[in-house]
Amino acid sequence: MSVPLLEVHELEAQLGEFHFGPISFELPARAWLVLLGPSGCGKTTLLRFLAGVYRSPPTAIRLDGRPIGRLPPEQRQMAYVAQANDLFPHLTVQENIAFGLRFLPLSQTDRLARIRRFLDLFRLTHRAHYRAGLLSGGEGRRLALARALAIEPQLLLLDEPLGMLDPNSRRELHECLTLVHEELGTATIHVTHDREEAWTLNGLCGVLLHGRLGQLAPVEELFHHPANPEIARFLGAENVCPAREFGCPNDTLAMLRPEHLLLDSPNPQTGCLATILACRDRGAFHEVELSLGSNRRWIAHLGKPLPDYVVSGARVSVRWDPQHLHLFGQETAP
Amino acid sequence: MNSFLSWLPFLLLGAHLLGHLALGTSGRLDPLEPFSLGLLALNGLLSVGMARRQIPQLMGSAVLFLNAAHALVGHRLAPDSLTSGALLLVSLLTVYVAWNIFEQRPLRYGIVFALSYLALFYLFIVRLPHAEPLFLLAVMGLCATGRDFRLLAWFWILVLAFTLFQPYAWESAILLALLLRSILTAHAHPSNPAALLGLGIGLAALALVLLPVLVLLLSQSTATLAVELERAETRHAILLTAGTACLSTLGLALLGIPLAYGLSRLTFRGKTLVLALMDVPIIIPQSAAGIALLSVFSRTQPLGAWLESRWGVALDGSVAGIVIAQMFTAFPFLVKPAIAAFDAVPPDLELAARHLGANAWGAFRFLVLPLARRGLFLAAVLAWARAAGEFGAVYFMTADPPVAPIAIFYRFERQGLVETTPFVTLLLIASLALFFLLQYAARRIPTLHDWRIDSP
Amino acid sequence: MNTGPSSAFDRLETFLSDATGNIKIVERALLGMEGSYVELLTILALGLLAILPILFPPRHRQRWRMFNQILGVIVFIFVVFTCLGVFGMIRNFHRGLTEIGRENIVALYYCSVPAVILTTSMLFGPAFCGWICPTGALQEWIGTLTARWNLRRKEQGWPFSRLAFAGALVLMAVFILWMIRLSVTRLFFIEDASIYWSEVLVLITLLVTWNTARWDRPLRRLRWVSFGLVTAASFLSLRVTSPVHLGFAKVYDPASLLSTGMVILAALLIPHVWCRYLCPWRAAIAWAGRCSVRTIVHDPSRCVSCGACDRVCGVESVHNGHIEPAECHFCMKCVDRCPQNALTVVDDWNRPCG
Repeated sequence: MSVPLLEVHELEAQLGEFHFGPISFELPARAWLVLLGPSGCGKTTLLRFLAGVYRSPPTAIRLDGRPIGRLPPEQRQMAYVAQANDLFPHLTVQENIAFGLRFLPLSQTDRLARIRRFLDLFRLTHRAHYRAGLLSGGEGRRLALARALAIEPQLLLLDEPLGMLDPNSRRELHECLTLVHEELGTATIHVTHDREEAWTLNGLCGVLLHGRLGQLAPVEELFHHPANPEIARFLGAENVCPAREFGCPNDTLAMLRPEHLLLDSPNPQTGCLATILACRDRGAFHEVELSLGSNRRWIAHLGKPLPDYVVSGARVSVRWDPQHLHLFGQETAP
Repeated sequence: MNSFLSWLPFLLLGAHLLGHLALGTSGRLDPLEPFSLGLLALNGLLSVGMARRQIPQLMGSAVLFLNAAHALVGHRLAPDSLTSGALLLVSLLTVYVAWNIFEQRPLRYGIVFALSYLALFYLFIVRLPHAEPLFLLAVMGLCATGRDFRLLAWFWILVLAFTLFQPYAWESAILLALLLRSILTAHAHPSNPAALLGLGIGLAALALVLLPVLVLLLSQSTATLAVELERAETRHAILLTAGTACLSTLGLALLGIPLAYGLSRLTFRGKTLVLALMDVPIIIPQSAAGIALLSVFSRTQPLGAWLESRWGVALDGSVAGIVIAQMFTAFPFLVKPAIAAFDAVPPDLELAARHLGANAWGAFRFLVLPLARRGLFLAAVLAWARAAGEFGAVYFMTADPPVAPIAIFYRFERQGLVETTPFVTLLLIASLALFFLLQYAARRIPTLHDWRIDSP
Repeated sequence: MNTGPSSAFDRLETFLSDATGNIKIVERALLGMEGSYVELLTILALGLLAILPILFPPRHRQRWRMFNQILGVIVFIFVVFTCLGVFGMIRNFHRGLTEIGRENIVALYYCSVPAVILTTSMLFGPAFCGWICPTGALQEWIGTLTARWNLRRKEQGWPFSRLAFAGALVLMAVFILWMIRLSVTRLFFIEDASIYWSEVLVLITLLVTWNTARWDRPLRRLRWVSFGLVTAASFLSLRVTSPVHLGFAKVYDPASLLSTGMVILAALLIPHVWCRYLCPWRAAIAWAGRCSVRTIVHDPSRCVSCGACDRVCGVESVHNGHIEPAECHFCMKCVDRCPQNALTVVDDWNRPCG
């Protein structure tokens, strides 16, 4: 395997009350890493360490094998797009893109060509001469991305790039990002608290909890085989309980994703009985809240249309395929 | 009622005719005098017009009554027909306007109109001596403005300014007009009476501040000012002041703007103390500042002596001394607004520039400076004004050649108030014109706020 | 024989004067006005002249208007000689306002004309311009000589006319020759500022006859410049006299004669040239008349856009029945000419101000 593009090794810091790290991970070239985590878990802090807002020991961060922990932001060859876009309001769209090029050794023609290319890539050509302050939310975000990528960084850091947008602009921007990533291949770290984004971007995925990197894996693996119950809960697997309740002999905790629970008309032979507490329409599926006897609540996701025995307050029998059951490591039940 | 109304004009006409005859025969009135006779004839015409329903009954009756009363009483008291005619004409106009206001406007307008009439009567006939002739003009003004409270407010401002506040008539007219205009156009959503009251009181206080300035501005004739401008002493003082103030502002800008940037962007221990210490030139009395400067920079003191022997620069008694003193007092006036200007540029934008490859200097040069431009310019204007107006500190450093404030003081000491005012007026005009010009220029510089238009 | 009523009236009068003393105040007030003949007559005359337009029946209104203008000329020339032309009025107003409370007779003397003009304009519209102003009347009467020619040019949208431009050049030549003669004889008076105004008038005439469509509207803003200059001059106590000062001066003033001549000649080429571009009082009166009670109202449902009102207006303030209040002289020619009675004079006491 080739040398990783980015190496983070034992990055650790105490920021006021918050203890960050230690974090270690590696990122190959052309990768797209989505970092998930709840608010206050240190996502933005990690990006700020990488981008050079905070200093770190020199060898804690290496880019292309080069230790960059002590370099100021402008020498790191990374581009950082903050949550608030931070466009320069006194400049036009074109001038915003040109801002970073001013500090690169480029000829005038190259510079113009590059501005035109990025205006094209992010579909901003028709707005080239608008003041940045006049752009709509989606356009502003695209401009922030174009401006950051125009300096051709080795690593792109995105802080919630799809946040605070209406659903249509979000989808549009997402398509745009995918296309641009295919074309430029810039390695990207993308921080978000929205797990749906992790699915749609379909690359590497990491979960940050309490300032530590809980797990780093391809997204499919992460969602189906989370390393511990806390990660599982954060990723939306509601049904975590001692394995015994799922009929396994182990003393560990087990997880079953809501879509793998099946409901039948009440029949004590085929599974355990449960009462339906609530039934909510989530658009593509129904979310059914079940109460099992032992003060335990499970969630099942059922496709449409709903069978007629699934109504609020009814009793149903619950079954599952044991191969969907994910057992966690040797941890005892709470 | 209707039959009474249709008879009313003839009753009034009859009364007029009877009165005319009675007064005529008893010798109190010349029955053939054209004016009274003319009014009688006019009333006859009016009655006929009303009988033929060409003139509204009540309105016509009121005019008829007024005519009759004027012919029988007012005209006899008036010294001549001219006075009498003017009076009658104005009375008729008043009746016409009052009638329409009572009839077509809400009642409060009529009441205010009547009260205003009484107030004008009191003001011009009773209160002010020998102002009777002006009563007619004032009533005409009331008639023109009575139908609308805003117009009426403007009218009363004029009347009050030019009667009660007469020695300062134009000044008070200008100030009251400013006050009224602000209050009339002030609005908020939802309406805020407390703020409006505050505005009114505050502007009244501001008017008191502005009054002396306006008095000085309006008191001098152009000829006096032209003569004053010809004096070498005046010209020299003005040019010296402008030149030194420019120099000291330049010096302050070179030192103060970097300092302000540092203070705005860095946190360090004792920052509060440094910020507080910057106010020292404001806190200490100007004369104390002058003495303090002298005790460091005077030729007899070590530092001053060293400066003179090493660099050949004598500070006390020289133009350089003026600049040093002006810089001393204007220092906080430049640095404080400059800090505010830099604070208004979000550090996040600067950080974004750094991420795009700009080093700290590039971010300052290409981002912070353009965005803080207006605030810095205004700070420099303020510092310039402060430097040009400094008296105390400059007086102790360099009393000769005198800058303008010191020249004013000398002139006043030697020649008194009357000789000094043209000089002061000239200075006032020049500095106000320059100040407002620069302020206006500054408003033309866009700021961060102007570009931040929220997208819908 | 008539002792009864006489003594009764006598008693009533005594009762009134004794009981209230109000009559005494009125009497004092009236006695206070004694001797201010000129000013009172001004109020009387101007007031009457301003109010008369209401009383006239619409049938012969234009004839009455001409009669009124003649009266106006007489009043201004023979009676109101205190009024030093249109500029002097502004200067006098400034002076008069300053004199209030010090020399009230002087104040009345200086304030009466401008105050009456402004107040009547606020009530009855800018009727002074169309009904009284002697300068306006002079230009209107002179203008009738070339009215047909001007009307034809107006209907064609003011194309470039060699004749008109030649006229403007002649005007300029006359002005220059006259100035040369004046400077040779050194017959200048103190109040020479009117020459600057007539200089500007000559230049404006040249510019407007060159391209009327381009320059007519923008140049009308000069009225405010003119007003501002005269007002500033009166504050700075500089003397500025208007071109039509001649008729009102007590002494022969050659400069004023020159200016009056220029206005008369220029009015042949452009109707109401002085009112259009330079009259400061037009600016003030239009401002005061902005929210006058009396207005001319256009009824679009009756209007057939025949253009009769456009044609008849001397200052081009009407466009298909829409009247520009800043330009209208309130002569009511359009009202009288309208075949559909779509334009009416209306008193609206609830008209919004501001």
